[in-house]
Amino acid sequence: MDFIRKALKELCSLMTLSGYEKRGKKRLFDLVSPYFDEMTEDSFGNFVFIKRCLKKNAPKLMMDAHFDTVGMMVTDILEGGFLSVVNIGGLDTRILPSSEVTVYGKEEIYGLISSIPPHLTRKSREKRSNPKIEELYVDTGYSKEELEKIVSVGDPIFIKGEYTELLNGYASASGLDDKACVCAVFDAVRQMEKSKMEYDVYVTVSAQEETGKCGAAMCAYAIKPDIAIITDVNFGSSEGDNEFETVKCGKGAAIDVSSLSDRRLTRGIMKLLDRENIPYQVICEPTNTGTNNELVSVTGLGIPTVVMSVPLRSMHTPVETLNINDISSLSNVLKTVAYTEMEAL
Amino acid sequence: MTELLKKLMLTSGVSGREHSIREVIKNEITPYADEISVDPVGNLIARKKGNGKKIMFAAHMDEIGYFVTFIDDKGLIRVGNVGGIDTLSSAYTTVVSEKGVYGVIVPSDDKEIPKCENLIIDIGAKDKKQAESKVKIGDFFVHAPSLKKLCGTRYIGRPFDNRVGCAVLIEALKKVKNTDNDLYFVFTVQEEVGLRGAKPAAYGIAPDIGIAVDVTSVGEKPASPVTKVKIGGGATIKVKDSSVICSYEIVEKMRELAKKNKIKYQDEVLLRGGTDTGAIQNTRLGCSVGAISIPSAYIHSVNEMIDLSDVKEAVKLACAVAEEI
Repeated sequence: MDFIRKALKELCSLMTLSGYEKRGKKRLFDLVSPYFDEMTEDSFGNFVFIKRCLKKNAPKLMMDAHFDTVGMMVTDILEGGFLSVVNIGGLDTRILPSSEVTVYGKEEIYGLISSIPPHLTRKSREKRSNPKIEELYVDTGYSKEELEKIVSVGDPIFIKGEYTELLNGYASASGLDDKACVCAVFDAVRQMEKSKMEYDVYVTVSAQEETGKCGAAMCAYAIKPDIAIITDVNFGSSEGDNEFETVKCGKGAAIDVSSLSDRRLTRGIMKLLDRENIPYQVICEPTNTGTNNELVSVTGLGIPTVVMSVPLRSMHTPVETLNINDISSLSNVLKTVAYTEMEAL
Repeated sequence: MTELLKKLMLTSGVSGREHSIREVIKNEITPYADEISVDPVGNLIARKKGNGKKIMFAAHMDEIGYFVTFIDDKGLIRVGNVGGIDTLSSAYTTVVSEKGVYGVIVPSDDKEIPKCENLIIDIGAKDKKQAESKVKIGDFFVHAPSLKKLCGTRYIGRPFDNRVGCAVLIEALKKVKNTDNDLYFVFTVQEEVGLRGAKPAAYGIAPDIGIAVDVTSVGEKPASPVTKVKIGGGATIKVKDSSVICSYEIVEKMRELAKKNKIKYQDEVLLRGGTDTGAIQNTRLGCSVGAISIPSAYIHSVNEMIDLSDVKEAVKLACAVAEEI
C-alpha cells in the first residue's frame, strides 16, 4: 500500500496530457527501474517494461494501462491575457468554469478558467449549465504582449487537482484515469517472484488512449502477446447513479464482460479468482468497452484480451475519486493471473 | 508554380478514381526521383534514396465529389457524397462526370440547407433513356475544376484541397538538395473518405518520421471556425487536428528549422477535420509525425481560396525538413 500511495502521488503530479507522455518518462522510469529487466520506449510515446520469468519460451502476458490524461490545448492568445482553448479528449465542460489550470508554455503559468457570474447568465440557463469549449477562456492575468513571449498556440494545459487522501482509504486527484491502473500494474509486477511467474510480463504504459486508443495497439503489434490484460478505470457508483452501469468503490477490482474481450479467457480468470477466494466485481459492457482493448483485440491476427478496472467516481474531472484498496485488489488479481499457467485459465 | 497548379487543379480525381491525376503527377516528378512506384491501393510513391532517416511526406491527390445512386423517369440523377460535401455552396453549381458529362446540382427542396441525399444532378436529359446513355449508376461526378487569380497573390478555385499540397511536394522534390535522409514523397489516395490511402503507404515504407502536407482552415473570414491561422500569414506547422496530436519534438524541430531558414510560419490547431498525419502516426509501431499546412478559406466549397505566398513558404519548409530534420 505504501508503494501505491507513493506512486499515485508521484504520477498524478506529472503532466502527461495526450501527446505529451514523454515529459513524464524520467520520473516514471526512476520510480520503477528496480523491478524490471528491460525498459524501452517508442517514437509515439509508449513505454514498455519487461520482467521475464525463469521458464524458457514462456508465453507473453501484456498488461496495459494508459499514461495520458485529458486536458486542453491553447488555440489563441487574446487581448487582456486570455487564452482560447480546445479540449484534448472527452472533457466535461460543465465543471470547467472556475477550474485552476497550469499552462505549459516556455515556463509553467497558473491560470483560471473564467466564469460568467450568475447575475449575467440568469436569462440563459442553458449557457450557464452547459458551455461549449469555444465559450471558455483561461485567464492568466498577464498582458497579451507578455503572454505571447511565454505561450504559443498548441501549448498543453493541464487541469489542476492535487493528490489528496481522504478518509477510509479514499483518495482524489486529477489524472487518476488511468494512473490508478498504472500503479496497480507496477505494484503487481513489483511483488511477482520470478520463480512463480508463468509468463514473461510486458507492462505497457501506453500513450493517447483518450484521443483514439492507438498507443496500446502499437505496443501489441510490437510485442505480439499471447494474452493482453487491459486495465482502465470504470464508473464508480455515487449517489443517484444506476447499479447496472456502475461498480462500487471499495468492493475490489472489476472484470468487464464485453463482446470485444475474449470470452473464454474472461470466464477462465473469473473461475480462477473464485477458486482462490479473491473478491471481484463484474460489469457488463456489451459492445464497446471504451478502453484500449477495442484496438488491441484486433491488432495483428487478433489478440485475446481481458479488461479489468478500478472503480472511479467523477471521471474526467479535477477531483476523480477512488478507493486505494481497489488498486491493491487489482494488483492482487494481476499477480494471481501471472502465477497461473495459460492452460489453466 | 501557377502553371503546375493549373495542371493539377484542372485534372479531376475523386476518391477511388485517382488514375488521371496520378498520371499528371507522375509525369511531373519522374525526372527528379530515384525510384517511382504505384502501390496496390494506388498511392504514387517517389523515392530519393539516402542512408539516413527515413522520412515519408504525404499529400493526398484525391478530392471530394459525388457518385450516382439512382436515375429517375425524368432523367434526373440522385447522388451520394464522396467525402464531406459543403451542400450549402454546392447548390446550382456545375458538375462534371468522370466521362466528361456536364450537369448542374439542384436541391430537391430550396427551403433549407440540403442534405446530400436531397441533391439532384440535372444533365439536361429529356428522359431516363437519354440520361442512361450518358451516365451509369456508380459513375462519379465532381464540381467543375477552376482556377482564377484575385487580388495580389490570392487565388480562388477548386480543388485546392489538396492539389496545392501535391504542388508543394512536387516543388519540394524538384528543389531539395542532396541529403543523407531517405526521402519518400507519397501522393495518397482516398484521404477524403477516411485517410484510407496513407495507411498502407506508411505500412509499406515504415518511416521514422511522417510529414503530411494538406490545407488548413483560416479564422478571419465570415463563418470561419475558431483558429488563429490567417491566409497569407505563412505556411503552418500543425500541433493538432481531429486525427492527430503531432509529436511535439517534431513540432519543436520544425519551428526551429523555420526560424533558422527565415521561413514565415504560423502555429496551427485545427478543431475540425483530419489529415493523413493521423493515419501515418498509428501504422505499425507508430512513428513521429508532423504536418505542414497551407491556409485556405472556404475549404470543401466550390471556391476555395489560397495565397500563393503561403504555398512558397510551405515549399521552403518542406525542403528544410527533408534536408535537415
